[in-house]
Amino acid sequence: MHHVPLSWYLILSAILFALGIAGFIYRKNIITVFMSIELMLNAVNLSFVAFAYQLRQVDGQIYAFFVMVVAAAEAAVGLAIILTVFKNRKTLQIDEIDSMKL
Amino acid sequence: MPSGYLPIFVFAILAALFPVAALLLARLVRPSAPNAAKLSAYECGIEPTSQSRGRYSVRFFLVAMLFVIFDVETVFLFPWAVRYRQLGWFGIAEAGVFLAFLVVGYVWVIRKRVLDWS
Amino acid sequence: MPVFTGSDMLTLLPAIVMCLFACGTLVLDVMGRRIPRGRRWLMLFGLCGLAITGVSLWRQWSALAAGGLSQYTGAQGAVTLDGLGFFSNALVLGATVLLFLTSYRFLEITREHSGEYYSLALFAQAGMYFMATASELITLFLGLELTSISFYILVGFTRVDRRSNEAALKYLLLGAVSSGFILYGFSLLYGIAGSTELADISSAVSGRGASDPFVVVAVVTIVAGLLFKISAVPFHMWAPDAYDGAPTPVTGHLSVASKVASFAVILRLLPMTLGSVRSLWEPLLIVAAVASMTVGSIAALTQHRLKRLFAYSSIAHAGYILLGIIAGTQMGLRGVYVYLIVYALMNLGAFTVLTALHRHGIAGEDLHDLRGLSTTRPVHAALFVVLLLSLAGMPPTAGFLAKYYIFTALIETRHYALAVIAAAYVVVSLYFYFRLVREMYMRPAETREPLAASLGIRLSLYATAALTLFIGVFPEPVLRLGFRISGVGQ
Repeated sequence: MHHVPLSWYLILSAILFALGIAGFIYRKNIITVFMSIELMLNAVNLSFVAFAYQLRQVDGQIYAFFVMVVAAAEAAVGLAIILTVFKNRKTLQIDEIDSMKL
Repeated sequence: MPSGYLPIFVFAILAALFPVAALLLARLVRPSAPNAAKLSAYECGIEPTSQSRGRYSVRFFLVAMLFVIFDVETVFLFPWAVRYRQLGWFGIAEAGVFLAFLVVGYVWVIRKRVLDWS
Repeated sequence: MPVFTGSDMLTLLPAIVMCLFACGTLVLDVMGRRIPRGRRWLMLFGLCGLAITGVSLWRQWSALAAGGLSQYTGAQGAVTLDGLGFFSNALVLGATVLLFLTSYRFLEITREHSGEYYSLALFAQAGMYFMATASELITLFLGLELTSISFYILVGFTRVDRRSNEAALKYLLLGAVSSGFILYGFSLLYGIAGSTELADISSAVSGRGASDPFVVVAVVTIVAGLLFKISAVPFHMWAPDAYDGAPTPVTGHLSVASKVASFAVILRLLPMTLGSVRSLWEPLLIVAAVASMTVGSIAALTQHRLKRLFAYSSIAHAGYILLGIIAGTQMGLRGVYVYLIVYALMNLGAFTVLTALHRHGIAGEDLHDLRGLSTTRPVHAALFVVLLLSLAGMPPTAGFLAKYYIFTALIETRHYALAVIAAAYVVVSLYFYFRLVREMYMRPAETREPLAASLGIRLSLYATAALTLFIGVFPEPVLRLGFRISGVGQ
């Protein structure tokens, strides 16, 4: 029985995390930025689950559960805030939300 | 190199090749005679009346958000279900406390009339 | 089979009380909409909850003292009661009480008065309890997120105000990214140690050493995420916008409570857990501290919006507090504790004055709103001057004492260059605090509209200003407290 080695999972997780950061920095639409953040959290989940599998433990999987739930709560709050922003100014482009520049 | 995945690779390649080959073959042998009736929706519902990227009511977003939260929270009940016998009364009490907190949220949602559609 | 024992109850009681009262506030709010003056009862209900939390914290402290223990780990290793935890919790609890006292009038004026505000503040308090006491990664992460999510909503609480929305959006996006960074570091720590308990992680990391790539990446990502939370440069961009847009009492709470709790996390994670790889994180903290003092002090010079000015000033203060951690000695840690107490007092007092400036029809968020305060409200102006002197670090106020300890610790540990830089920025900061005094005392008043007043606002202002002066003149009790805590938590 062959296993995918741990390092592959960790590399994939690092790549996904880096993609999330890149999306956060370069994307202009708030919803896409928000999805990039979710991608970062899921990259972390992947590495938790991979470690848990490697270590034959359940802690890491439980951690992933908690991350999922927190991400859902954060997404709900985030979408609510995005909705009020949109109601107040009718745009979701991040460069146009700048009433507080210096 | 993991070898157990070879059939999946082969399957994936075949799955990608089949529609391409079928469409190419059909294009080569069929006659070309377009008309309006061919382009209409055929026994698959009605003609769309507006763009599919139109605006939705805010209510849909609220309900979707509530669904996401209450749906994801139930993930904590699964570990309890798996270890139901070992956890015994402690597990039941913990799950009760957890559900009580969810009920508080539910009561708040109802009293705020978020689910009131009239 | 797990059971819930009396000692678990003891370790978790403050958080349980907070969660119950937070839920109670929500339910009472939606059930009793028609009760006259219902909001006032809700606020008092919340204050009752805070009082009970205070009592249960006191019970924990005396139970520990009675057993002669310096720390106690309960709830199956999830929560550790020690000096650091008690210190941070007591400070945050005081900040939440002042938030309740100052918010009532503010919410009435902005017409955003609702029970959710108090409920979220109580949830944040529960989250900060776990930030200060968690000795395990899952609990720590949940505490961090419970606090952050409550604050995201509180910052955007005035929904019709565009600035408030925008502030909440920016705080949420950047806060979520910083949580992601911390979490990535946590996942690597879990992989290194095979356990989520901080004690196991500490020994596993010291076994691996500072050259292990996993340790390096974990430390760098965690430090970056934590610097975000205390708004240290280069991760400070959210702070001016979030502080400016948030409702003023929330800004005060954000600048004090969330910063104190985040410093508790930093103290527990870096010196206590990752102390063996000090060579990795110390340079990062030095860069962040110097950059924070520089950017905070210099950017504050040109601000004309009060809350932005205080945002930059609190960025600079975060730099000073980091210096105490960099020194790392008993003296340095004692300096951190004393600085946090003093910082909390003077910032809460200053934001109480800003809250009082917010009246019907006047936002009170600009520098010229302070004009003529010395003639219209001489007592407010005089107390504000005391708080500003303390923020600038002038004797005989408490701010001087705090800076004195940090400088002594730096010189003791031969960080002469850092001490000189820090002293130079004290001079710069004098100038921008003086600008506020000049507006109050040397410019004529623009409006006769009286300040927003309530018993809570007056109480909060008098208490913070009096304590700031008292600690400056009679430092003994606070020093003894700092000494005791820095001795207990080690």
